[in-house]
Amino acid sequence: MSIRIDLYFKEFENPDLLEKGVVFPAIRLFTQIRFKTRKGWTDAYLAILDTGAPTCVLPLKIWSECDVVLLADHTLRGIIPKEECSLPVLVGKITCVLVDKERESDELEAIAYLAMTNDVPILIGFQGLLEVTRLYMDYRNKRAFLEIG
Amino acid sequence: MEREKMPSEFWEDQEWALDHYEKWMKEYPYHWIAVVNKEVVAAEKDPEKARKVAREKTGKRHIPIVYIEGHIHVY
Repeated sequence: MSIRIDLYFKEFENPDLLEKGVVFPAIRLFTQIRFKTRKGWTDAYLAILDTGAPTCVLPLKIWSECDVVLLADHTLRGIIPKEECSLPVLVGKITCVLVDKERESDELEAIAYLAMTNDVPILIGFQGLLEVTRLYMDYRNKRAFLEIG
Repeated sequence: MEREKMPSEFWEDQEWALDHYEKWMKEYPYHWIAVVNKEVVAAEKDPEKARKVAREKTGKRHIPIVYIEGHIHVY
């Protein structure tokens, strides 16, 4: 049986563009996620659902509480192809559940990029997570969800 | 291991934090904020520290901790 996890659209003003008279909302799609730790489970964190991300990205103090199997070290590269804009990460296997106010998925295992800084948001990418879900997204009607299973 | 349910206030506070995100971008850019009873009770660079400070201040166990970007990023 499949389970449906609600997602949330958030529109942001872009203050940098607003100052220049360019007005359009920046739209993000959020989900919520709990991580398995060595002692139990975290509470739910808001996370950006990023269909452009091959893997999840987790900040240091969040993944360091998790029950994680470290696999390798790596360098995360973003939109700017310069060495100074890259981010050193570890690659590791985590266990998590996707949640909303009422429902939780079964446990999911994902290989994630584990940042060495807290200055990154939680990003939800494909490996282990989006690849095992069906994403429904209807921004005009402000409705989005993941179906799992 | 059993997963403890978060109380309804947790979800309300998390939603409230998201609803006011633009305000937090100005006040707490690139910080992790802790929200209790629709109030920001801690803002730290470290999410675990934000939780610790918030727990000490409020005595609450389940506290939403939300990362606040300072600008709109493309990841």
